[in-house]
Amino acid sequence: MRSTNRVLVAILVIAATIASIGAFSVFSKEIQHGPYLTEMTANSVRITWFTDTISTGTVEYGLSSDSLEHSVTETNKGIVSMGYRHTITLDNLKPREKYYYRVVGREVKNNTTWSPIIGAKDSGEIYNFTTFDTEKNGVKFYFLTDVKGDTDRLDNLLGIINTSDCDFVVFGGDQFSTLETESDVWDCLIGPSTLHFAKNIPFFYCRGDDDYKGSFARSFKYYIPTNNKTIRPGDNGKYYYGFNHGRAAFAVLDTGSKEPDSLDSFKGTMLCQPYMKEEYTWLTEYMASSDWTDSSFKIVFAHNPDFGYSSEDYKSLLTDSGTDLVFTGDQQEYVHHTPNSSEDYHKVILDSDKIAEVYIVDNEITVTVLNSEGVEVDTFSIEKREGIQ
Amino acid sequence: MVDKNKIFKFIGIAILVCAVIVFCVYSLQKSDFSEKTASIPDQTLDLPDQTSVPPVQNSDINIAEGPFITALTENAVIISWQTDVDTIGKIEYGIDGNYSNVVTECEDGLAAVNKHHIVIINGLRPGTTYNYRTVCTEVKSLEKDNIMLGNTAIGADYSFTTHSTADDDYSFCFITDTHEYTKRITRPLSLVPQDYSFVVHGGDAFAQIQTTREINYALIEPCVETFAKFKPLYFVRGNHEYRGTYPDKLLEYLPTLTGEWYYSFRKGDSAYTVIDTGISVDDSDQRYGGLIQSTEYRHNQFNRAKEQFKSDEWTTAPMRIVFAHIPFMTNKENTDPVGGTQAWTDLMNDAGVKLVISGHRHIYRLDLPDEEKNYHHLIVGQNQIARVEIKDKAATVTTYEFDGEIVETFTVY
Repeated sequence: MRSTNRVLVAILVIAATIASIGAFSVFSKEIQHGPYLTEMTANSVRITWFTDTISTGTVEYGLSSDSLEHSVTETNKGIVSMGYRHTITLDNLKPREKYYYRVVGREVKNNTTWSPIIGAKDSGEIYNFTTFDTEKNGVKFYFLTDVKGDTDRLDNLLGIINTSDCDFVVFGGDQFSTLETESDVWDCLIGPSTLHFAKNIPFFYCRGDDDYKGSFARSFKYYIPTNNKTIRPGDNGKYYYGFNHGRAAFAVLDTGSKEPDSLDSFKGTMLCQPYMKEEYTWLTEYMASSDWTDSSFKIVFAHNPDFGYSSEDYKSLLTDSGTDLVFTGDQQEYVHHTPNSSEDYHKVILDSDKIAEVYIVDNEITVTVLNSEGVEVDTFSIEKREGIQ
Repeated sequence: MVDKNKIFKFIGIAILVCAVIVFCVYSLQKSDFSEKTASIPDQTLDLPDQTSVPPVQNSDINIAEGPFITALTENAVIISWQTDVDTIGKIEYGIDGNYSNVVTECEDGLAAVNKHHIVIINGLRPGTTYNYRTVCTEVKSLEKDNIMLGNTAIGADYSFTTHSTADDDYSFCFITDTHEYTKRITRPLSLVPQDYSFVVHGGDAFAQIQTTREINYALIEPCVETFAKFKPLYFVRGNHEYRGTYPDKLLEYLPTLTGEWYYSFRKGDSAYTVIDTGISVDDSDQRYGGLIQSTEYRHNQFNRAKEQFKSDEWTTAPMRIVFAHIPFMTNKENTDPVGGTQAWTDLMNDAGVKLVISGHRHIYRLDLPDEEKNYHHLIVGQNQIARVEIKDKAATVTTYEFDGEIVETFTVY
């Protein structure tokens, strides 16, 4: 009798453990981070979110919150993707149209042939976004940089953003105090952005020199993947790319590491110079393309105001290709450089305590610089260049 | 007060749960591949078995798998390998025993730090034998301002020879449907003359892909052991490569120059196209749990093949060979105008395909050209190997049984 009891107790303990694990997994299918928007164009947007169980990812969307009649499921070479990260680019959207969307997924507990164990559909809340439009007059965006892990200040600066008419936000790099673990990415970038705006308004991230350092530096791009991809399996795209909105063209640059690759303390782990050559080749092509040349305004985002290794090459390329305005960071003090012969464009160097609000309307770009209390520090306007359509 | 009925009910449920678990474990053990697990493995790379460790100098780093050659063309090659610790990987290579060239695996301006290494080498000369070796440096810390490296291991010397338009007399081997029985790879390849230039695996190397360890065990290791350090493997994705929890990891182990499962290459008089014939049933088939959406992928592939068949690489080749896992003639119900059976047949007729080699059926069959198709269509059986000799602009195919007996020989002109 006693031994039977023991067996029963043992069975009970095992069953209770299993049941609690089961219950946990059933009730923990939640969106952990996001959704957040990146890579918006007039016809597309990327939506990324993370779940705490391995699951499939689908975005349901439509022009009204009552009927999300379209859906796109993340796939990879014919197979529905399964994982913690979900990232989907919605294509074939109409310009300047308000879309409603929600992310949905199914937990994949096991995908054994004949007996796949797939959970029920789990849906997130409905959010909305408005696509870009190259015909739009009146584009507003914000630029901030060098947050360096100061989440309180980040919170203040993001609180200044007027989300009712903001088209996008650009981070100028060096967002972290350290980039050692995944939680740095959540705490200093994805979390605050999602909280303040990124469910509805896209952001762009311009890689800083500190983003090259730390144990997690190689994993960072996984959280902000781009479509500028190589053939390498699992590649998350390049940090540099261009986009258009309103009558303006934008280039997001990666100005690399500040020190030379040969620096002793890098011990051969930095291979930035050849990478910058690749970027320069791409930038030359991009600035010769009609996406750039046909735009009325030309704006560059670059972390390092001196553009890294090939400083002079970048300055002449930006000058020759008619750049109007460059936003940079990396320094302690706010400076507005007006055009000169070697750099024929306005260059804003923003410090970490400020946010720039930029409004492009009619023939003018207006830049207003605010400090973290929301007090205006500087404002200036740039006229469209002569002879530009 | 505790309700006795509730306790009994709970005990009943507990026994039931245990029974289900016991049954699951039992049925798993029954399956032919004992390393399979029912749980979803970690996202991190599993540490592979260290059964064959090549000589390594001055270090405790083990090259756990490889090196493994894929995607060889006239000017490029991909070499992949795995280490048992996080390392920075390089390939040093050169001609006539020198190692004057080096390619470091990198991503976005940083040396890549991985256990699984993939190095793409471009700018090679056609028809040239290159010696190469892996060089791995252990990375102990990547913390900011505290980068710590360990030992560097220099791998053994191997070589590969790039393809050339002048290659007018060579052979290759085709094996297929090995289904995790590694002797189906190693044994037939030991039966044929050893001068083959490359190996094509016709797909279904797995039953399903539940762990990355399985990929090493069932495919990478037997290929490395037999040929893949010196000669490339071209892999044709089979329907079983759509199954399991990690089917999308496989391409990392068999990287291609298109980044896709479909690709082409040219060697001498012959042009080759590898296509992915998808799964043999509808995407909605319950075996796949609704986790297949292959239409767009098949369409992309078909459209790319149309372009490929117009290219000089293809049109100037006297011999044109297509590798496809599922034989078209046994899959007539797929009527998709883009990438369905008839569409492929028409496309291949127009493109002057001379020979299609497939697997999937596990039984040998040869269909001669007829009113529907202008090409020979060969199905190689599961325990067989086809040796294809390209000579004088013709392809002579000899298929052998597992014991070395010849099944049939035929020549396509």
